[in-house]
Amino acid sequence: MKQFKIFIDFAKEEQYLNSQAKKGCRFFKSSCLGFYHFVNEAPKDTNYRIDYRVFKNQYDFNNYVTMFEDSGWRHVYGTKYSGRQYFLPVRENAAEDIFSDITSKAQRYISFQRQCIVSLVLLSVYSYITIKPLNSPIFLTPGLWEKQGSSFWLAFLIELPFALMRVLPMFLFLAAAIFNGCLAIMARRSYKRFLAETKEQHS
Amino acid sequence: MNLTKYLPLTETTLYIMLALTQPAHGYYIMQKAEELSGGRVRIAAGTMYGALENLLSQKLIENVPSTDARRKLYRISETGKEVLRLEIERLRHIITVAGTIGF
Repeated sequence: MKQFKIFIDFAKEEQYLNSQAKKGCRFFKSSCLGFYHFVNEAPKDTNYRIDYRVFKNQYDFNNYVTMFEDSGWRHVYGTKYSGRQYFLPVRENAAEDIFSDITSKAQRYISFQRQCIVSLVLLSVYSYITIKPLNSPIFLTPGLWEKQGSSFWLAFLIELPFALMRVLPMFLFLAAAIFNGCLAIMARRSYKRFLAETKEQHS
Repeated sequence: MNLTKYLPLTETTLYIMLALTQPAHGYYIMQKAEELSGGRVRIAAGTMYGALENLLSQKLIENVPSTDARRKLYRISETGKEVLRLEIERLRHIITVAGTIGF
């Protein structure tokens, strides 16, 4: 089974995975576009924990995963570039959480925000590069706009797919850039909300 | 270089750096910190990894070649040792002063 969801707040995402497991849907994979993959299993009480980290190489990633495994956490899903890293406790004596202080727990929102800003910058550069064709005509058929009636429509429709292909990448990159900008802003908000809530709990 | 900018160290950082006077991998540092603190400081895996990354970027610790393909070895750097010395000196001063006042 697949479900489409977008989470900014890691705490809500953890709750979602736990409630799915309670319904008998075991999470095993998430794909970058926001799809969560589940297999049917007996309902279970779980304690999913999510970290956000991107790794430079496979060695760094393996070292990270092993550190968790050694201390009683199973790495359920995540790749070196996926950012989100999902864990489940496997040992009886595993700690309650993968974080033991508030600062490091809040840091995952900052890491996520940073990654969104990196994507935003990259996508803006891509859309700037692909904007170039807009300085030149989008339709290249000579004398297209002077044509009349059916010969105009024929030439227009023949070239339309190619004309769209010339401008579409720019719009897609632009839309993706804006989307990442929104994610970055919401990640910042989640970070602030998390700090405010934990402060409230401790006072 | 002005090393006092790293002070004061958090309790977690202090125990990690003390544990790293010997080369060690992540999980071993977690156990060692717990042991050195008499069971009081229990560092969870995510917090541990973040702390090691921070200390590496501040060059207070460094990686040493490891024979284990899945576990990196960490060790305190020369700068780290100097910072640790300054911090212990600072703490020692507090303890001495507190003693003269009756605590």
